[in-house]
Amino acid sequence: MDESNIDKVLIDDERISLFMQGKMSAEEEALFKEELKSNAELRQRAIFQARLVKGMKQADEELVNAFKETDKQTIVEILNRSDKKSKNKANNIRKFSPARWMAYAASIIIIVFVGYKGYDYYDTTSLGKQYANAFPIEFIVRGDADTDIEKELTKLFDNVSKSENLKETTARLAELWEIAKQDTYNDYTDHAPYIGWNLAIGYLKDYEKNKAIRILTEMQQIYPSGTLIGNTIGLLMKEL
Amino acid sequence: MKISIFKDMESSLLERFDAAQRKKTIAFLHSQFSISEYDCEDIYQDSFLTLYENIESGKLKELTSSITTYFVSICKNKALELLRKRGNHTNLEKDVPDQNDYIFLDDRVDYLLSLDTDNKEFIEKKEELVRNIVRNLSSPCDELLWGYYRDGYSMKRLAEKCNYPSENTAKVTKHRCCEKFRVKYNEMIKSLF
Repeated sequence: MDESNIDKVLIDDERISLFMQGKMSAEEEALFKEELKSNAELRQRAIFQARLVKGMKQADEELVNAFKETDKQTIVEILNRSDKKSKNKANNIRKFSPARWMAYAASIIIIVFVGYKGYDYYDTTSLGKQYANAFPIEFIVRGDADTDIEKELTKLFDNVSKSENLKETTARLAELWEIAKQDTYNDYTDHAPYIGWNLAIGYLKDYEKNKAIRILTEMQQIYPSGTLIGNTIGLLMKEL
Repeated sequence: MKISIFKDMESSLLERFDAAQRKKTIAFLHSQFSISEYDCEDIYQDSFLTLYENIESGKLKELTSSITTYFVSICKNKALELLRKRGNHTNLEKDVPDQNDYIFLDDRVDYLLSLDTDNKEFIEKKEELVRNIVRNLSSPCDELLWGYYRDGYSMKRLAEKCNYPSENTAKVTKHRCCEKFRVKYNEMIKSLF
């Protein structure tokens, strides 16, 4: 779709919203209704957006009814089941607790015998692991990855999460970050904050601390504190 | 007395809601309030029960935003309560949808839907299809479409919330989400009916 087309479509989207919000003057509304009769494309888009509004309201109502039709015991069972699932996952991490203590002990030994550089390596890569799941993949690309772009990003983010192929992964993410952060809208714009975040985490895990700080600094300029990602970047930067 | 025949169907809807909310809400609380994951899990469980109790007791009479937004606001309040108890103070960003200005009016929505000339049975199937799709949107369409069409956020506010460089970028993305949705919806209509 070229620039003039997208502008027209965006204007039409806005008119459909204004109509549904009752924000048109009587004259504008009459004109809009006339146009709906003669312009099949506009009519289809308007019906579709109205269906979206109604569908969301109905989906919420169904959920409220589901709560009403369920007893407290069942709610507790649902919560316990999913809590157990997430605890099982968490336990896999918690089981490493003694190992973590050993790692702390090892880091002290490293400080003594290898010096600051060894400790810094441990500290940096640990931070990468600690913050790796601040934005779970399900949070970024939920459901099935629909496009090749989403599939590639899912794979790259998964590599960062599992610390696999970090060199290749960060190299590719660095290319995508350059595209995603551009002012002009492109295929990666929507995913820019998560591309930047995963690139920084990948660098930390790969002990590329300076590169991570550079990306996080760039991100801080784009995503100010007060936003979810801005706040998370702020927390991580304080620890670096 | 609950109707047991519906129990499985209702609980599966609730399980899906829980599955969709748990991980992202805990991650959000953890990063927004710097609370441990264990505490975030407790807040999540507590909030889920509060949501249930508010619906059951009739305290929640009418939803003015999506149920997800309402649920997250319960979680935020509980997180703030915990921080207050511990003597920590935090400034929470203002996150109130720009309501009243951006509410979609039922009569206008119904007017547009009346332009669909398909028969009632077919329309009901279409509505069911839409409900299924909107429940399973992926990010960023999930945040943008629910935020705009259900929560009453302005595009400017959504651009800020979703970290877009400009309101226009958010508008273009919302439009692309609508188109993506429309293509999926039309394909499913064709294959199902």
